[in-house]
Amino acid sequence: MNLLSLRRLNLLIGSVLVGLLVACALIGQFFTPYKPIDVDLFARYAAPSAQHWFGTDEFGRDVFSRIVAGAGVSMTVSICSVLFALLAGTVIGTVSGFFGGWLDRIVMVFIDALMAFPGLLLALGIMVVLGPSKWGVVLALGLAYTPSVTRIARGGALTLRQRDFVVASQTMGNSSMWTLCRHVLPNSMAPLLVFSTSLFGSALLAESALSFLGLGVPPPSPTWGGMLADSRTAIDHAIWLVIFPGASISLALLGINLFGDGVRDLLDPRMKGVSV
Amino acid sequence: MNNRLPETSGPQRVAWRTWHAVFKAVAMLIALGCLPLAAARAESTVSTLAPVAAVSAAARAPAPALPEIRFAVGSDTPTSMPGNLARNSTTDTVLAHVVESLVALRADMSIAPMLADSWNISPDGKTYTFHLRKGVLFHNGAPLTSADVKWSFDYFMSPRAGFECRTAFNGRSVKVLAVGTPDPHTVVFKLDHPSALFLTHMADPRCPIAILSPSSVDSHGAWIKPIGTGPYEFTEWKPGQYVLLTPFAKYLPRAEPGSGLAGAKHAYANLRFVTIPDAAAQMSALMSGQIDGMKVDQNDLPPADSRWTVVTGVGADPAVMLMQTRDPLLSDVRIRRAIALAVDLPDVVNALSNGLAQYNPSLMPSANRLYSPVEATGYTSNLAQVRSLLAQAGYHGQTLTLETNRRYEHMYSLAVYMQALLSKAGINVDLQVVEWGKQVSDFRSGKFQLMSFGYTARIDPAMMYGDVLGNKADNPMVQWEDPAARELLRSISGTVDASVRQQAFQQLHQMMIADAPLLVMYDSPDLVVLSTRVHGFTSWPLRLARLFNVTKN
Amino acid sequence: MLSYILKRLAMSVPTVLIVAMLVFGMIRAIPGDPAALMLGDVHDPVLLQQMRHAFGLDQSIPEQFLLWVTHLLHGDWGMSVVRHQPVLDLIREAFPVTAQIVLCATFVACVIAIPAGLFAAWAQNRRTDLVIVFTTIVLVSIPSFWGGILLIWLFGVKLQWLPTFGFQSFSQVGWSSIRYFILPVIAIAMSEIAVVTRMMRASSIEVLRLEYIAHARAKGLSERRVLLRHTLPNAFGPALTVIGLVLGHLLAGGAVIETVFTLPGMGRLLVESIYARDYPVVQGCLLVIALIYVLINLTVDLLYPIFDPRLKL
Repeated sequence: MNLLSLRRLNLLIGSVLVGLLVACALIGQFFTPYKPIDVDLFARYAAPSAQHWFGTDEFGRDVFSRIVAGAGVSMTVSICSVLFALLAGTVIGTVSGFFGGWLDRIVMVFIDALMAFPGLLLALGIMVVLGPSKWGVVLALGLAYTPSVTRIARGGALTLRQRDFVVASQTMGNSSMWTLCRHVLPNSMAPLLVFSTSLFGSALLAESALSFLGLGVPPPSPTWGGMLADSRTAIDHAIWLVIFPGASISLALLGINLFGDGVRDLLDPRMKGVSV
Repeated sequence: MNNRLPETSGPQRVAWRTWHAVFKAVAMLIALGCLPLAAARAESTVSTLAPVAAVSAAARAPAPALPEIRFAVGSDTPTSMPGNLARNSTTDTVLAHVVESLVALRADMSIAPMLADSWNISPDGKTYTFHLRKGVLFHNGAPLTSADVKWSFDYFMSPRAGFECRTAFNGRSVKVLAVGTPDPHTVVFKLDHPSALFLTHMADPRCPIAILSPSSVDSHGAWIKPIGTGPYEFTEWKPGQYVLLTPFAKYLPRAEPGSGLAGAKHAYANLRFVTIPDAAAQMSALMSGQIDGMKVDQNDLPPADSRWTVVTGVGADPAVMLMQTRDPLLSDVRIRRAIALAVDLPDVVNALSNGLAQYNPSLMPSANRLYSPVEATGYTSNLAQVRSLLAQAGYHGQTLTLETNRRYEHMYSLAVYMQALLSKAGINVDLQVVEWGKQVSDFRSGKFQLMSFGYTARIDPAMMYGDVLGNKADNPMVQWEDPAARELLRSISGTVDASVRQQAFQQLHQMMIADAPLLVMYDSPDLVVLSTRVHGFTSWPLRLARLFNVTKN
Repeated sequence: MLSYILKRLAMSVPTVLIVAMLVFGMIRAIPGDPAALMLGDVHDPVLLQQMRHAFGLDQSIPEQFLLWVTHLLHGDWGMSVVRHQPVLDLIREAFPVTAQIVLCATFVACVIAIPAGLFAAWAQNRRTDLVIVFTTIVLVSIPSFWGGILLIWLFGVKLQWLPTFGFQSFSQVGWSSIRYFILPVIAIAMSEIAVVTRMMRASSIEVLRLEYIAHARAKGLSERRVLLRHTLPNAFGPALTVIGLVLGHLLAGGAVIETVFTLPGMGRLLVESIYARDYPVVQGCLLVIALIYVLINLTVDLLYPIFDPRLKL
C-alpha cells in the first residue's frame, strides 16, 4: 500500500470523525430523537432496539439522544478550556520570559505551585465555591493547563529575546510592549498551536474523567463521562450503558488525534511522519 | 536523510532479537500471574479469596469449626464505643451484636425488656424502677449487677466519654437526677419531669445506654473495647478492613421470639463486617462469593440468580421533598399545595422503588405500632386544582430550584422524576445537583427552595415531629412553623399513654397535610442481598443488619 | 552535585508553602465543615460546638494554619477527623498501594514502549512503523477508566478469572497479590505505552537523522551497536521527561483508576477526605503530592545529563 495514501487515509478518517463530532455537537443542541432529559417510567434499562437505537438508562432516557447531546457539552468545555489556557499561558509566559529578572522568578514560583496543585482539588474547589456549572469546569481545566502553556511560551520568549531582530527593535527605541506584540509573539505561536491541539484531546479526556468522578458538568445535562460513571453498577445487565459512552469518547479522541497528526504532517514537511 | 538500508540479515536480526526479548519479558510476567491464578480457581467455592487477616496462614488453615458470615459495610467504624461522637451507622450495626441496654426496640418500634425483665413507673412519671434479669454474664465472665448499670450510665454521662446523646439525658429531652441501686438486681432512675421518651432514648440503637463492664476502660478511664452482655464478643478490629465478632458461649437468649433488637438472639456463626466503600465493588464481591451479604440501593438491585436472594422490608427513613416556607414564592401555601397536587405521588414512588415501597405521606413510619389509616392519607393529584391554585397565587412561570446530590441515588432519582413531572404540570423547576457536603450545609442553614432529602429514622414519631417543627429564626433546620402544631406536640411530651399519643399524632398529620411544608414520599425500604447459603435473615424498619438468629451452610 | 540538589530543594520550599496555603484556605472555603457533616440532619448546637472545638475549627484560619505548620515541624501530621487515626498512618497505608500499581505500570509500559518507539523510528514509514503509530493513536484515545471498566467486566464478571475489587500487597500475600495488580496495571499501561512510544519514536527519528549516526554506520558498526549504543541513550532524554510527567501525574492523581478498581490508594483517600471535609487528611495528602512533584522533577533534571552530555547541571 502506498505510504502517502495511508497517511492521507489517516487524515481522512480523522476528518470524518471530527466532522461527525462537530455535527453532533451542533445538531444535538436542537434535534434528537428524544429529549435527553425526558424520563420514561415504563422503559427503563431497555436494550438497544428500533425505538431506542442505543437503549435506555435507569430513568428510561434514550441513550442515543444523550450521547448526541453530550457531544456539544464535551466540545464546548474542551475548546473553551484550551482557549483559556492558551490565552492566559501565552500572556503570562511571554511577558515573564521576555522581561526576566525577579518578575520571572516570582511568576514561576506561582506557576510551579499551580502545577503541583492537584487538578481534582482545584476542580472540586471551584465547583463547590462557584456552584456546579459548565463554566466552573472550563475554569478548572483552563487553570490546570495554564502552567504547561506558560512554560512553553516562556521558553519561546527566552530564546527569542536574544535574537537579532528583537534586540534591534528595542535598540531602535520601540517600547517593550510593541516588540513583544510585533516580533516575539508571532514567532513563538507555532509550538503553542501544536501543543494546543494535543491539549484539546487531553481536555476532552479530563472533562470525561471529572464527570466520572462527579465533578463535571452537572446533571441532568448529559456528559459522556457522567454516563460512563453511572453505568458501573449496571455492567452485568445493561452493558450497552458502558459501551456507547466510552466508544464515543474513544472515537472522538481518535478523530482529534488523527486529524491533528494529519494536519501537522501537511503543514510541516520537515516533520513529515513524526507524530508527537 | 535516507533511512532505507539494504535489507541484509543484520538489521532484521536486530529487530527480531529486540522483539524476542520484549515478548519473553511480557510472557514471563503473565505466566507469573497465572500460576497463583490457577491455584486460586481450584478453591473457588470456598471463599478464601476474601481480604482475610494479616497472617496468610489463616487463609490456608483448615476450615474453622464455625461458619463465618461476611457482611459488607460501606465505611469502617471509627470507634468501638457505643454512641460515641465519632460513631457512624457501621458502629451501630456492629455494636448492636455486642452490647445490650435495659430495654430494646421491637420491629414495630415499641419497647421490650432486655436486661431488665420488668419495670415500674411511678404515678407521677418521675421514677423508673427496673428489675434486672438474673444470670446474665459479661463477656469477661463477670455477672451483671445494678452497680454495673449505674457505672455505665455515669460513664456515658461524663464529658470525657464523648457520648453523643449525653444532652438527651441531661436536660434536652429528659433530665435524670439520680440513679439508685437499692439491691444488686434493682436500679432506680429519678427524673426531673415525666417523659414519654426516656425508655426510647435508652434503647436508641444510635446511642444506647449500653450496659458495660467497668473493664471496658483502663485504670485511667480510657476506652479499651466494649465488654458487654450481647450474643457476640468484640474479638478483632482491623481499622479500615474489618471487624470480627465471635459468639459468646455463655449468652442466655431471652424467651420471647426475636423482633427488632428485642427477644431471643442466637449466635450461630462468626461474623465479619468487611469494609468495602464502593457499592459496585460490593456487588462484585458478592457475585464472586467473597462476601455473603450487603445492603443495596433501590437502583442497584442485581438480576435474579440462584446464588443470591434479595430480602426486603418496609423501612423508617422518610424520603422527602422539602419546601422552604420562608422563600418569597413558596411562603404562599397555595403554591405549596399546588406542588403537592401536581404529581401522582403514589405512581412516582412505585416507579422509583420498583414497587418495593408504598407511598407514605406521614412522618410516622408505616411500620410503627401507632400507624393508622389517617397517616396513610396524603395527596391525590388533581391538575385542575393545581391550575386554579397557581392562578390564585399569581404564579406566572417563575423557576424554582430543586437541590439534590449524587451521593444518595434515591434522593437523586426522586429529584429527577419530580423535576420532569412538575415541569410537565406547569411548574417550572430546575435541577441543581450539588455535592453532599454542600447540601447538608444548605439544609442546616435553610438556603434552598426545594430540596430532595432523606431523614434518618427517628425511633419515635415525637422525635421526628420535634425535629421538623420549630421556629426557623431560632433553628433554620426545622421545616414547619405552625404554632398550634408545636403546642400540640409539647402537650404530649410527658405522657406514656399510647392512645393519647396516637390521637395527637393523627391530628398533627392532618395539620401537616393541610399546610404542606414538605412532601413526605415514602420510607426507604430495607434491601439486603444475601447469598443463598445464608438462612434466617430478616428485615426490620430501622434497617440495621442483624446477623443473630442467622445460619450459613 | 550535592549543592545543586540542596539548592533545588530549597527553591521548592516557597512553592510547597504556597500550595499548602492555597489548599488550606480552599478546603475551608468550601461550604460544610466536618462537624456539621457528621451531625447531618440532627439539631444539637451543644454537640456541634463540642465537635468543632475538638477539631480545632473554632479558631481563625491563619491560627489554624500556624498550628498545623508548627505541628508538622515536630513531625505531627495530625489526626483524621472522620477516621480517628493519625494522618501519617493513613497515608502510609494508602501511598504504597498507589505507588506499587503506578510503578509497575510504568515499568511494564517502558519495557514495551522504548523498544517499540526505537524500532518504529528505525523502520520509519515502513509497514511496521505505521502499524505501531496507528496502535499508539488508538491506545491514546481509549480513556483508561473505560478500558478499566471493560476489563473488569470481561475478566471479573464474565470470566471470573480475577478479583474485581480491593487490593492486597506483596508483603501480605506474596506472589498471589499479582491478581490484584494485573487489571489496573493493564488499564494504566495502555495509555502510558502510547504516550512514551510516540515520544521515543519522535526523538529517535531526530537522532537518527544526525550526522554522527551516518558516521557510525560508515565506520562499519553493526546496526545493533548503532541503535543501542548511539541512538537509544541520546533519544531517551525527552522520553524520560515525559515518563517523569506521567509518573508524577499518576502518583498524584490516580483517583479515577482507584475508583474504578476500588484500590485503597492515595487518590481515593484524597477524594473521600475532600467529600467528608477531613481537613487534616487533605492537607497531609496534598503535602505528599507536592513533595512527589518536587522529587520527580529533581530526579529527571539530574538524570538528563547522563543522556545528553551537552547539558550541564
